[in-house]
Amino acid sequence: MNDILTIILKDTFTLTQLKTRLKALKVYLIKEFFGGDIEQSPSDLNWLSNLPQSLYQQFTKDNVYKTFEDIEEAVHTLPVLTVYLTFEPNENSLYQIGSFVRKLYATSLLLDIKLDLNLLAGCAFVWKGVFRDYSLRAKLEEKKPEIINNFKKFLR
Amino acid sequence: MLELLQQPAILISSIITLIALSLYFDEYFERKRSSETQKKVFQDTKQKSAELLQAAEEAQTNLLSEGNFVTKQLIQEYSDKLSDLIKNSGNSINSAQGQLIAFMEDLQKRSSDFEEASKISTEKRISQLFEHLEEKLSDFLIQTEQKTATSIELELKSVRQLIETYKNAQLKMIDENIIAMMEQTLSIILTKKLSLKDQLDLVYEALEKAKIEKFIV
Amino acid sequence: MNTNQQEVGFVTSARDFLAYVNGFPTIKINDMVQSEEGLRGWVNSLDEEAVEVLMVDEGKVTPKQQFIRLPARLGLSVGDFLLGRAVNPLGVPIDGKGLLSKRKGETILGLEQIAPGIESRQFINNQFLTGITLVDSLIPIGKGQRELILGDAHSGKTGFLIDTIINQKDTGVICIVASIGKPAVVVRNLIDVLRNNKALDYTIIVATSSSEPPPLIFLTPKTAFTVAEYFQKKGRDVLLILDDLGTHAKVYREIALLGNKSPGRESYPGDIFFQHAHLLERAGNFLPQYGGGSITALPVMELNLNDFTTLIPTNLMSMTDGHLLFKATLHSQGQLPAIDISLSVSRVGRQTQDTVSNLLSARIREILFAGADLESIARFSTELPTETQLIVIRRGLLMEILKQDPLTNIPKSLQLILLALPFTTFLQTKNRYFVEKYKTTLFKAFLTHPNLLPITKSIDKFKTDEELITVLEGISPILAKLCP
Repeated sequence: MNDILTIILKDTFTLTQLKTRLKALKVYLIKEFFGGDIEQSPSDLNWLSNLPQSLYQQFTKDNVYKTFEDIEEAVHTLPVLTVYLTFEPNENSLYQIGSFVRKLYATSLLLDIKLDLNLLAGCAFVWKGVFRDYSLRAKLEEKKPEIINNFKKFLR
Repeated sequence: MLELLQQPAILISSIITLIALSLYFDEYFERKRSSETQKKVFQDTKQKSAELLQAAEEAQTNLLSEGNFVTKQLIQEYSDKLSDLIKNSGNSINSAQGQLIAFMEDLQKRSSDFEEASKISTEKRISQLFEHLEEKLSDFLIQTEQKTATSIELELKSVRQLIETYKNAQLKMIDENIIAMMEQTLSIILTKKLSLKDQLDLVYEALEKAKIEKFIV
Repeated sequence: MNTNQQEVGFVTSARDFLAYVNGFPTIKINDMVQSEEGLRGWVNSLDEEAVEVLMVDEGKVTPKQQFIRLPARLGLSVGDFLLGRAVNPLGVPIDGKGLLSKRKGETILGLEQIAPGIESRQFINNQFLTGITLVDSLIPIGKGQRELILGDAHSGKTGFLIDTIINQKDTGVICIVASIGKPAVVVRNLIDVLRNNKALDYTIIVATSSSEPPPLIFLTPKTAFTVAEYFQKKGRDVLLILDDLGTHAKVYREIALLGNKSPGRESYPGDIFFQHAHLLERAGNFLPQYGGGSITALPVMELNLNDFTTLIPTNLMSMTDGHLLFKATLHSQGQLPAIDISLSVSRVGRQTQDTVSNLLSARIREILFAGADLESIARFSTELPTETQLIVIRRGLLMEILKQDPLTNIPKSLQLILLALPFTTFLQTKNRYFVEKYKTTLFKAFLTHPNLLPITKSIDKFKTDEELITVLEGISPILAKLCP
């Protein structure tokens, strides 16, 4: 079960991605084992087709539900880094950010991307309940008196 | 006659007439006696009253002569005394008059003196008063001037301070507005201008910084 | 970059006013938090995985919302500016009269205080005068006592409480009314009545209407006690009315059941006793080193009078120093206040009364209870022995004297005199209609008549009630003349 997770985590970087992918996998497997007529989106199908066969072999009719329960429990224990960005990243950039983060820190770190336009540029993080602002907005706040002084130079 | 006496009514009436007759005779003699005594008494009184009248006349003439003499003496005495008194009082009046005149003259002199002296002293007092008043007035004016000056200064100072604070507050607001404007402009521009690569670079930079500061383990 | 750091949490699940938030590494119970949309809440409990937050502002809380930690803890700013105002439990004025205080930096007291221990308490020996004859003479209340006001609906409890507040005018007692979950109209009425009787200057009202979020309603009595403690520490005597604790218990039950706490008896959570007890323990009479004042608490409980052995009334009766039982039947019979004397008790009040009042009230109780039995017999027979008749008559007179119209204040000295009158020969031959007719005349007479005023003034000098009764015998001819 853990290796299933590791395989999936190899190219899933955010929590949302993980949850959607797990759901897609589950739906597919249930369709496979028990029949059903559920449409899945092309991106999901694409990803599913990229999964190695060894993964699929681990699932049988009996253990499918139990396995998913275990996976969900394990997901809860994963560390999550919440990132506030000024833009909504697409797949590619997500991949880039994700891999960078994984390289820098633990390989099982998950991201939670949120949108906040008030950060003019850059990003802010929330780690273990503490919020830290690395954005331009924060920098501006810090340098406020200097900026004002500079402006004042233009006043006659 | 005996038969007549045996009848009771006639007996009783005869007794009654006998008694009445006796009584009448008694009364007649009594009356005679009393008129005689009356006459005697009358004569006695007449005599006595004539004697009394005579004595009274004598006494009267004595008294009258005494009285005349005494009144003449009294009149003489009184007239003497009265002339003495008039003389005395005349003398005293004259002397008193003389004294009074002297006193009046003296009084007049004194009052004129007094008038003059008082005139002089009032003049002096008035002039003193005026001087005093002038002094006080000038003092007062100077004081009020000073006070008004200080109060005006204080007002000015406070007003200036108010203006200063207002100016400062406004400036601060303007500063904040400037910053806000800048932030807004930046946000509009950056979202358009910053390429994806730049954004990603910023994110990487932040991540690395976080690692250095041990924010994320 | 330390200034840029802040503790945050994200909502994992939310139900109505209860939100479970994940995050906040160093948060403590009773801290305040605020959502992105400005909805505030306070931390009720801490689990391993999540922090349980009760929202005091109305609004939707959705999962994944971010909560930031506010620097303030659960508390409100207290000061003398609260007098005459109505506030909600968080200190926000609700009477429309504008800001409470212009100054910043007022003392902020936390709502949750631990009640002072035994070493800070002082023996209760001052009587708390309510101005109502029935209570002050037969069921006296002391300053610092907790007396439960129990009764069914429409039995005149609120009227009694309002009278008590109004009768504290010019005594220096501060009155605090905690209106827990009552409709807004009721609160408005209360404010108007108090203002019309010039009682608002020494009263503070802490009110929540029944439409506010349950966590806010739950906080009302805590706020009331906090404000009371502020005044008590300054040496003032405080009267605190909690109207009513039954609603408070129900609200707490709602919160606990929503939070999946196990329900106990009558579905109340297991710590319902603690919630009420640790509130009421904050009342009492305190030593000068600890402020010196006193807090007299009158919690109110409305119940169905046929059964007052349910959980909350029995709980409250065991944690208070006595109770006054109001009956709607007595109210409709015309007895005001509608207190049932035989079922009401004051455990601490007796030691605060002076000897004359004590002896007199013992006598009166004797007659009332003896008379109650005899009343039924009296209806059937007119050939009773004289002593029995006397008891019945005296009982009738006393019941008539104990009746008191709303919004009247009878000072202590007059109470004693009026209650001693039925024991004199003057009233022995009269019946209750006489008293009904002449009560106000006698009242005024003892306050203004030159022969009677000295008695009223020297009431403290009597040592026993016998002396008082003898003195009143002496002036009965004057009274007879005043009441033809």
